[in-house]
Amino acid sequence: MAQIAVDSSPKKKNFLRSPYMLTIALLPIILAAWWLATTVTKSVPAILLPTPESVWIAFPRVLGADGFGDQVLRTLTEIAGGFALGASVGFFLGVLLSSSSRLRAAYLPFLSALEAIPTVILAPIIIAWIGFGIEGKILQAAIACFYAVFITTLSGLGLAEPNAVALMKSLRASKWQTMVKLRIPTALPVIFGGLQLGATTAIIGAIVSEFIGATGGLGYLMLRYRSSFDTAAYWVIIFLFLVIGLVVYLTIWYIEKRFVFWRRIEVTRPDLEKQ
Amino acid sequence: MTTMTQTAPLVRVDGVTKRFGSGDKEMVALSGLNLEVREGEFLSLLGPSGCGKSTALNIMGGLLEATEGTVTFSGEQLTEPNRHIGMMFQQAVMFPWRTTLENVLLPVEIFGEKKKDFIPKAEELLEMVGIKDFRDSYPWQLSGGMQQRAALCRVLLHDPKLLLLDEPCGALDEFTRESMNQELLRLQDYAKSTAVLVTHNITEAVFMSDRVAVMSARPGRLVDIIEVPFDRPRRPDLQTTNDFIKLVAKARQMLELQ
Repeated sequence: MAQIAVDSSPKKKNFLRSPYMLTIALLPIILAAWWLATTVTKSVPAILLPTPESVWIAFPRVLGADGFGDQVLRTLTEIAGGFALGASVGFFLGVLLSSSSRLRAAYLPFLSALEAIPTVILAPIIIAWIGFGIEGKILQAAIACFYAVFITTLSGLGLAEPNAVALMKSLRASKWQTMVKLRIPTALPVIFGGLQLGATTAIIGAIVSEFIGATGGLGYLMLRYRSSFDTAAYWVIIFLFLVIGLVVYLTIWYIEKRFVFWRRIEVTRPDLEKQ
Repeated sequence: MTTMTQTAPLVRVDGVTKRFGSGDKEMVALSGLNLEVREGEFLSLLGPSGCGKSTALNIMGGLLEATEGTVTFSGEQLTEPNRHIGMMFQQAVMFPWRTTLENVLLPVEIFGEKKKDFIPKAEELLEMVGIKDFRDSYPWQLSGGMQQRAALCRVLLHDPKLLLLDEPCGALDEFTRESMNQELLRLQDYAKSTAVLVTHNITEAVFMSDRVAVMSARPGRLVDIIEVPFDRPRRPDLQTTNDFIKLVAKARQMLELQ
């Protein structure tokens, strides 16, 4: 009955063997291919794909441009606001629908059908309704990310073990207590999957709606660079989105690790899961 | 009045039938079960898989509703879970996001009481089952037997009058099961509660119980009740005595005769 070691990764922490090395190893290969295709062989015209050097040079120009910080801040606000709104609504609706099979039967098909409407075709409608301002972009990002959080919450809340539900019932726990103390914690790993997915779609939602029509933001900047055929600057912003996506992913991953600390270890112990 | 409550059984199961589904898919899990559980006794429901013994237990715990018949607990008809009835399941059902102590204190939160008031008792129980050192560990850091001991502490925290045990040692290995059973008997005696154990292990049923209710396979019904006369506390070497072996043989015969 010895205590089981908590450490799930007994392997030595060797940076060279860490998965990040695979990412880093890929970088020079991509850069080399890019450089070969544009600078060396000139087989791809610069208007389609700028050379690595020109993008490198464009970085300080784009980042140092007047009011650039405001544009970044605006897009980040749209993403964060839309994500917070969409994820909250998605979570709330997931909890609501999970608690009633009548509500589920009535609204689940409808909500799922709504998800089939592409963000792009909603954008002009939203602009027509509430204008080019930041509110419309937040709404657009929220609509884009709500479904992922909603559907994962709904399915995650159904994952509580029958025995655990019976235990709560035998303690005369209310529906609400069972929800808060059992169903939501059980669903957290799945909900975090939905949050990851939702964060990505919130980014897409915000950018797409800026593309359709906006008075500011990174998507708006991209449109301006495109119309002046400044492909290199356009690519700089693509890289910025990559950075934003990475930071968002890592942030959620970090929060997940704090909240769902109990899960990964369990997954690595199939012998315990059987019991 | 006092003498009446003393002689009246703690639980009375009266003509309980349970059917699941309807029409062609109807399944009779339990058919006309009559059973009395006496105050302070240890009773086992012994039978093959699918004899409805777990169904009977869930009905006694108010988790399931009987299709026909009634269950009376402490003189009142039972229709829903009762605070004075504690249930243990085949799995320990420890929440992995809670430490051992937090798991043991779960009922306190559900009942809306102050956790602080129950920590000393929880610690005392953990000490009694020998896992006090693991109070701040998480369930996945404990073995299956330790988890089940913690579950026992959780169910005993509020001194239930009636303990309903649905094969709580079923998922444990033979050695752990035996020491866990000893623990169960010791704590049932300490808490002065009445216990009903569901099991398909004949030796276990005879060893633990004052009476063994033998049940038949589907549809589940009561075959007979065996009185087990041995003194308490019971030691493991009881299992090698002739009288014990004879009783086990008798129970086995009843199960095979059906």
